[in-house]
Parts: sequence; C-alpha cells; structure tokens
Amino acid sequence: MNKIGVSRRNFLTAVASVTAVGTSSPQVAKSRPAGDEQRPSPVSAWSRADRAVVVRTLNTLIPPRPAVPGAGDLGIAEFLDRTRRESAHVAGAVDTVLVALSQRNKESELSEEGFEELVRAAEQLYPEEFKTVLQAVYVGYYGHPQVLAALSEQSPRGYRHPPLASNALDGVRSRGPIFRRA
Amino acid sequence: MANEVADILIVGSGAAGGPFAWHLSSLSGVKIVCLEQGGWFGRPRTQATELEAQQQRLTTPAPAVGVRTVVDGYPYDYSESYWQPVLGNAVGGATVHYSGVWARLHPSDFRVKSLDGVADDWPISYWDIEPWYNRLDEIVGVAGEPGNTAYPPKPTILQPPHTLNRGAQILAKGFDQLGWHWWPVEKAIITRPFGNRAPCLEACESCEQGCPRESKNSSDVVFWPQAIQNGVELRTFATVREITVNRRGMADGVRYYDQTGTLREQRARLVVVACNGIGTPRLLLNSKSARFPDGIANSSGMVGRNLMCHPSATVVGLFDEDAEPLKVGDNSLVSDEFYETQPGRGFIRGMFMLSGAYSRPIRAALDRDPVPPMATIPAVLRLPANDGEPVPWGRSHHVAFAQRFQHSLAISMYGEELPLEDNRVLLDPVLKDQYGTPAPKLVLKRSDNTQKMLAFGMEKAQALLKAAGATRIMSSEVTTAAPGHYLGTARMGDDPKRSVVDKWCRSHDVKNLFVIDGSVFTTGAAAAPTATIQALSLRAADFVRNNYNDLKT
Repeated sequence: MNKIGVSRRNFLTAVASVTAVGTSSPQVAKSRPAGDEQRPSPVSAWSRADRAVVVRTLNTLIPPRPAVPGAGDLGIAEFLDRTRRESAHVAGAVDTVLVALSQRNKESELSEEGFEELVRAAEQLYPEEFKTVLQAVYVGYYGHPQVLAALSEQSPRGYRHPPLASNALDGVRSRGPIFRRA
Repeated sequence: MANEVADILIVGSGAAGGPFAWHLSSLSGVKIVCLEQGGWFGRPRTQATELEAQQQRLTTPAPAVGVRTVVDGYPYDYSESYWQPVLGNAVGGATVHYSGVWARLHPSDFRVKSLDGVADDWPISYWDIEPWYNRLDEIVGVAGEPGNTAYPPKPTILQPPHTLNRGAQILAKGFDQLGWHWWPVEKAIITRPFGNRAPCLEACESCEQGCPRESKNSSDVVFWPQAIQNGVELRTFATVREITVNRRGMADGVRYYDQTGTLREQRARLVVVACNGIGTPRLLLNSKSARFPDGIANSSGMVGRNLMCHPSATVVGLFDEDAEPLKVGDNSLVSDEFYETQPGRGFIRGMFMLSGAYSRPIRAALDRDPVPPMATIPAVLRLPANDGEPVPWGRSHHVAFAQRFQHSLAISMYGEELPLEDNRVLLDPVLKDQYGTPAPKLVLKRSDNTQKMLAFGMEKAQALLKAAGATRIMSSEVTTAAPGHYLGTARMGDDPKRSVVDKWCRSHDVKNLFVIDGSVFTTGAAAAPTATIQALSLRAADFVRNNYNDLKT
C-alpha cells in the first residue's frame, strides 16, 4: 500500500480497466505500439479532463521557482501537445502515461502528495514511456524564454572574462618541455 | 561538366576534401570536381550578434549521436562496437560541428613502435609534417597562448587565446596544486578579425552547432567559397557508390547517385577519397572489380582494419563555488600531463584532459543534448539515445538542477587507442543504404590497454577535481558516444603489405588514387585529429601539384 492508499495491484488493475474500456477522451490511443513511427499522431487536442491531468502532471514534474511558474502553468502542455502531434513515438509515450494517470477523474481528488505518488507509480509502471515524456517536458521547459530569462539573470549579457594573467602559467613553464623528443 | 572527364575528382568535401580542393584550385586549366553526399549546412550567413549567438546556444541542441545521421547520412551497424560515432554528411563534413580544438600530434605520436615497442611508426615524422601544420595555422586562423610546453616550439604567430572561463579558472588551481601541466586550449577559432571572418564572441559556445559568425575554421567557410570561385565544381547530394577502374587497373572515375537517385558516372584522371575513417573503407571495399575482388587498393587486406577512435571518459565534480555556466562554455583548458608513455602506469601511450561544464540548461537537465522526435529518424538509421541521467523531477528538481548546472565541473579525457587489426570496418552482409549499397559494420573492442588507460585517467581526474575544491564526485563514466574521430582504416606506411597508402597518401596499388582523410593515420594518437587531417591533405595536395604532369598520365 502506498501513500495514496492504492496498492500497486489495484493501481495496475485500474490502469488495465481504464485501458480496456478507453478513456474519457476517445482520441487517446489505447495501445499504440511504442516503435510505431510511421503513423502520424492524432491531430485533435486533448479533452479538458486530459488537459487538466497533463497540466497537473507538468506542475508536479517541474514545480514553480522564483519568477517562473510550474511547467504546467507555464504552458509546456502546448509544447508537449505539439511534440506529440509531430512524433508518434512521443505521442505513444504521452498517451500511455496519460492513461496511467487518468483515474476516471479521481485523480483530481488526490492531494499534492497523492498525485505525486501516482506519477511515481506511473513512472515505475512505464519507465521507458515516462523517460520519453520527461525528456520532452525538459526540452520544452528549458527552452522556454521565461525560464532562460530567469536563468540569464545570473549572467548579464556581454560579460567578458579577464585575459589570462601574465604569470598564470609560470608554474607550468618552469617545468620546461614535457614532450618526448622523437 | 557532368559528362566531361575531370582532371581531379574528390569524394567528400570535409576536413580533408576542402583544403585539398582549395589548394589545387589555383592550378590553371585543371578541372576539379568534388562529390559531396550531403548539402550545405544551414548556417546563418550573417555574423550573428552576441544576443543571437547566445540564443542559438541556449535553445539549439548540438548535433548528437544519430541526429546528423537523420538528414543525409547512411546507416551503419555498430552492434559489435563499444563506440557510436557521430555520422553525417554536409559540405564541410565534421568541421561544421567539431569544437574547434586545434592540436598537433606530438613528435612521439609518429614513433610509437620505436619509442614504445607497439603498433607501427608512421612513414613520416613530426618534422616532416611540421611545415604544413605551420602553413595551415596561417590559413585557418588559430588562437592560443604561445609556448605550450607539451609541444616543440612553433614559429606560427597565434592570435590571442580565448579567455579562461570561470570553471577552467577553478580547475587551473587544482592543476597548479598538483604540479600538473595545463594550458589554455588552442582553437582554430579566431579572436581577432581574420580575412572577412568576424572574431569569436566568446559568449555563445555555439561551435558545435556550426559557428554562427564563421569564426571557426570549417571547410565550408574557410576553403570552399574560394575553391568554388576558382572554378572547382562542388556537386552536393551526390552519393558515390564505387570507384571504377580501367583495364590497366587505374582508377578512371566513380559511379554515384545524384539528388534524384539517378545512377551517374563521373570519369576522372585522378581520384581522391576523403570520406573519413568509416566512409572511406566502405567506399574502397564496395569498389570491387575483376582486378580488385576484395575492393580497390586492398591488396594488403588492410582496408577497413585498425579502426581507432579516441576512447573517452568524463568525471564530474560538485563545487561550492559558482561555475557561472552562462558566462562560460567548455573546452577552455587542456592538460597533456598524461599524454606520453610513462613506465609503471600499466599501459602504453596516454591521453589529454579537457575542462568542461554544462554550458546549456537543457544539456544539464538531461545530462546530454536532446535528440529530435524519433519519428523523424528512419528506423534503419536510429540509434539508441545516450541516456544520460536527467535531473530528478519533483520537489527536488530545482535544487538538483542548480547544483548540476551552476556548481559542477567536468574533466573529460581522450586517450590513444592502439591499432588492432581485428578492430575494423566491414561491409555489412545485410544492412544497405537507400540505394542498396552495402552499409558499414563496425567491430571495435576496447583493448586491455585502453581499459587501463581510462581507469587511470578517471582516477587522476577525480584527484584533480578534489584538488580544485570539489566537495563530491558526482559521476565518473566511460563515454560511449565518442567524438567523431575515425582513424586508421586505410593506413599510411612504407610497406605495401602492411599499409594502404604511402607517405604522400597515394595508394600503393593504384597510382592515381589518393586517400587523404583520417583513415590514413598509422596510429591514432590522443590529440584531436583535425589539424593533422588538414595538414596531411595540404601535404598530399602539394605532392599532386608538384607531380601533376606525371600523375595525370
């Protein structure tokens, strides 16, 4: 039994049942093969319920930091959706993880800690898919202008390092040549 | 020109093909054609501002394993290779994405057999190639600190060195404390205006994405514009299938696929192969005929054998000090302390060390550069991503990210791999490219010598990081996606039974066939090979120039 009161067995059963009957959003693929790269991903957007799960998941993956909201509130869901549409591989992974997290709307009742536990369970259940999703999220987040601006505040543009001090290499020079003559 | 006989036909426009074509393009009345499998790199033809360059650095991933392959490369089987090379094709070849580190081989690199009793000596010495190193420095523009004690004195006037980034300054203290050699990295990246090229901003670290200001020596920037202006015809998206021979066993041209996939022929009086250590043996082995049933220029059986890369490892340490990653890049400091063979270490030859840091936020978050959506990569070309260790997600994410991004510094080491005949490039019996031409298969096993060298290097790197103030060693790993250095597979030598080309890069078997790329390296050395590849190319071009009337007949 984990913190949210769902045993791994029950969790797996819940996921299996959700997968078997489909989710509330018909566009979520039930069993897209991970290696299927030929078919384009569905173009349609997520349902409102799906989107809420995605945003909450993103905020859980990358919480807010000073001057930057969490990844979900920052709009990384749009990036993820775009990536998903461009790549069947990413779409398969996103949809798999989404299905695992969509507990027929019960996930919305979970506490912050409970939802985090659910995400960790999904990571354990679908490690490869989760890794793919995480990469896409990190790419979106760390390419976002607001994040880069926040990071760049520590680094004013135009900064130049001072030239090498004239005596910086004295110790090295004092040893003389270290190459073998041949 | 397509139906005319070329006087000189070059296959490949990269590190070797560029300077070769450029140097001979001033020969009057000589028709030179170059066939390049890729296209022009999408370099912004403006000299980017600091802000634009920084944005490119922050938002564009550097080419990673399997990425350039997507665009215009060919498949290869690396299932028996510990090393996954970065393969791709473009005008300028790998010079588009190399980091600009500019190192000569050391005198001892040419005398491994004589000095250390292993492998073979090159048929040339450091002093034989030195004039071409010197000329090359003046052609491409090199920035560095004069007087590096790891090398013989150089007469070349260098531009002022790149400044030491904060991370390198921290690490330099460790080197000094241990009494080890270190030096600011010499780079073929200009720090002062040079010709019509703008100097490096030292603020963007976009070298590996194709320098947006053309400050870096790259064949598509430094050599090809002038060569084309002088009349060389560069044909892009031309995939050469085989070299053809006439009844006398001389090379008389190539068959290649043009951009439409149509098989064409280009006749030539002199054929020059510059496809690097994997593409070159693949082409030679695929060039079978009644005269050369095992592939052209292969009477020694050495074509494809002795494949060498630069085995590498990286050790990362955590520091209290802020490494100021957004003010710095990597490749700022080099150490040749362990370059030469030293009795008692348990291995022969050595390595160089290079300072580094996570210069891009995304690289720090993923512990590698991101790969594009897999859907864009044809299955046959797909490589497994170098996984890396992403920063943990969740509540600890930002602290972990800041630790990695701002407070970690790395030492990478690149070692010399000894030539072993069983390490080789073969033609894959199954895998083929889009035109049905057999693809290369790599067989590369890490030798005991290499294993010991890397273990030694990682131990020394840990000691260095601690001496520099690291509070914790975060990781210490052998790298599997090594730099794109593929060497030795058409080796140079005096003995036709043990080598493919002579000291002028001319085939022992086919007198009008030259191989001028990294595949001619007799031993791999540890130093980054681009300077030597280009120096050998210029040297071979000089030979052709001086003997052109004899060669063309």
